[in-house]
Amino acid sequence: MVFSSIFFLFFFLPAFFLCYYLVPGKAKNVILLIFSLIFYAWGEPKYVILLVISSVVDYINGRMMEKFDGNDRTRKIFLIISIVINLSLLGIFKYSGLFIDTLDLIPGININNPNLPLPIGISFFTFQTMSYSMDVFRRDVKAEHNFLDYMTYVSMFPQLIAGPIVRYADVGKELHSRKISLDKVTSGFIRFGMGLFKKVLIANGIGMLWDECLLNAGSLSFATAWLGAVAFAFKIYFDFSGYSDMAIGLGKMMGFDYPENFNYPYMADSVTDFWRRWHITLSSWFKSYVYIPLGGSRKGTARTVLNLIIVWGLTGFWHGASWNYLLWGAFFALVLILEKFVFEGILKKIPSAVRHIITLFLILISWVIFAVEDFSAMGLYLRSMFSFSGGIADGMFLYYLRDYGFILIIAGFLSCPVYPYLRKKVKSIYWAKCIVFAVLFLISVVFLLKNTYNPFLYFRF
Amino acid sequence: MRAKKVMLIAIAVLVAACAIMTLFAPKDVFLDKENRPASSAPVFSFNTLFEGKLTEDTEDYLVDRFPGREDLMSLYALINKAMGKNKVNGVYLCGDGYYIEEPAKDKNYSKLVNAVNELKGKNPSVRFMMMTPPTAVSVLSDKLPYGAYGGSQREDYNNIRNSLDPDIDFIDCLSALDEAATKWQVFYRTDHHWTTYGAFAAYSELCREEGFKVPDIKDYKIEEVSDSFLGTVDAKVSDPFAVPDKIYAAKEPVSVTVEYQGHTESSLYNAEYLSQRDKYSYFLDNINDRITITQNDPLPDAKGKTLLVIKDSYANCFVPFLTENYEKIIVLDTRYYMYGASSVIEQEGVTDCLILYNLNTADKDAGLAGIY
Repeated sequence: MVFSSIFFLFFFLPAFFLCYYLVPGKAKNVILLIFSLIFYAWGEPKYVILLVISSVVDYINGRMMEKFDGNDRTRKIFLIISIVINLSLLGIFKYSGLFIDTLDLIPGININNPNLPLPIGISFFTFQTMSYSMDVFRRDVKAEHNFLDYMTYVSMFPQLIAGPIVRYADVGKELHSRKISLDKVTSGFIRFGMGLFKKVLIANGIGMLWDECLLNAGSLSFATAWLGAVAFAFKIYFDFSGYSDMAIGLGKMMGFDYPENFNYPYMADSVTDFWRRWHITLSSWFKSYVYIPLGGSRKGTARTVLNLIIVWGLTGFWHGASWNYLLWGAFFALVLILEKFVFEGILKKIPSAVRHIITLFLILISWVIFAVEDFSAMGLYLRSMFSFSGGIADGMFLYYLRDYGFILIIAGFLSCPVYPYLRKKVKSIYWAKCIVFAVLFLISVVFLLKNTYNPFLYFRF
Repeated sequence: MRAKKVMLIAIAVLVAACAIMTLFAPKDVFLDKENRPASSAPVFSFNTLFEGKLTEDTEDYLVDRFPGREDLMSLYALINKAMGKNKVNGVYLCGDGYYIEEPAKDKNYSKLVNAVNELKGKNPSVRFMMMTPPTAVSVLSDKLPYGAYGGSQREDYNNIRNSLDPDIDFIDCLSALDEAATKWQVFYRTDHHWTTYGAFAAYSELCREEGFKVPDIKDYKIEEVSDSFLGTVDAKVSDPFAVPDKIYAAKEPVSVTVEYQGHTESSLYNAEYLSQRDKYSYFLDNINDRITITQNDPLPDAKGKTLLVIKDSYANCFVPFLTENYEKIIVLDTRYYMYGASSVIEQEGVTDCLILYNLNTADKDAGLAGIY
């Protein structure tokens, strides 16, 4: 099920909250679990089993690590079991198709591709359960004893399919007792509404511009090519952060505090900074479970470079089973290594505006690598961005600028921390806020109903 | 504190009201504007669930019955206009109140050409005419928003002309339409069809090509039959400020008997449709698989000539002009008539054959390849 659907908004969600608020404290988790399983099964009934397997495996591993508390060897074995099983699930259901197709390119090899459909959210829930096992192993958290509570943690529908990646440590306490207050419910609801608006109006609206540009990748003028890249940058940011907003908002309405996932990423003044602001829960996952265990930056330059390459290769590949994502990760590895070891001194000296521009420039290029899975199309698109073979600007550019100008301005505006600034400067008028919110909500519903263009980006993750 | 409560309760009530109204909406609804019945209720079964069909069907069912749906669609158009959009739901908002569909992305016209060539090859003694009028997006391209993508229909049109069997008369309706567009309204502003004037311009070209007497518009009794036509393109946009079109129709030039499916009339028009939303169906009674039009008193020049028209709905306002030139006209809508054209040619002793599809249909509809 997706959030941006009439069924979810007007039927599933009201029914859920009705049950959730009516039942007493302990039973809330059961309601949440049941609705989460329905939520998942609604689009993908077969794969509920994977969700259950992943949960059972890590629940048992957690308990076992607790039982063999004194025996580090045994504990390590259980940790390895968890990692192997979760990575196998990912390997089989997410990457096997790509590997088979790639092997088939070698003459003499001909393996049938079973073409397994990608289980929604598998990249998210396997990472959550793995983080739990690793945290228990490091004794950062205590093992969960109640299986239903653990399963609820893994499958909570707000963040099940597109994050944020919530670590057990983040919500372990709230899983057993949480407070639901009027303040939290209202602010959660507003957060959800804003996320919906970002997804339905801005991401979907501007996504069309990118699609049209990509369709003509070979014949774009210089300006149109860059405009298309900007459109994709906005599309993915508003789609993804909108989804996170909706998840965080729903979590609040249930009494959970999920970690933040975005912090105005396009305000970053270096690519390093960008990754502190973009998909924060993913980059911190890789940092604490891969980069730091590998030694981080404490084992000398050569080792640090290697660690960065490993982490960013994995991060890229996590985003989808296609080689362009690996290239995308490699691109970031290169940029981050250069930022860290070569240009650090220079970057400090140049004016902040220039740093911002360089950062955005690199990010836009990275998005083209990310967005185009087909390498020849990617080449064509990048060529349009770096040559004037299609002219500097053309009628199409002006047409798009007029057609998408308004959304582009709104998107640009919302990519800057305008709201936090206003909140500090202007005394909030509650009813005015309510009216603005109601109007945005109505607009979102109208756009949802139209439903002509409502693609869901995260099926690749 | 109170304000928050009020807001939450208001939203909860509103959401619940929408949900209840959607659930209790009538089961059988016809969506007038979109000219289709509302999606039927989803069927719950393991198959539908596992194929993901249940998910889709449920969403369609709910969306089609959402309270105030049509008004909300109009609101959608208004919001888009307010945002300065030039294109809403695949339709360009053009100058002079025109709504013009963006060109089809598919390019299937060569399949149509091959099928027509093949049909001609099978029936060498029959005289063949082919007409593929481009749509408003090409003829009225000057009305499109600046820089808007207008497609390549003119190029396609020439390709069709060049790849057609030279024994088939290609009726060059494009230049006729281009010329006519300077003096008449040749396309509806709110519908994807050409007007009676557009059809007349193309008919004049056909007469020139076929050696018939080239008519003058004044030879016909053209009257306004409706002033409140909001067509299919308007339905896609739902702009509440759209200005309705007028429909003009030419009175039958000769007296005819028209056999539709299941009923016989003396008119090529069905006035019942004028009081409905789908007013273009006035021409040739909407969709009939097969229509036979016979001159009551055969004109000397037309005597013994039987024309088969294989066509899409562009022909519906075009065929009335042809009634003068052929004793008998058989009109086949191949999208609905499944028995094929060749057997009709044989059984009915067809002497002439006209293939008339607009370029948009030719490009989109891969099924046309099966016309013979």
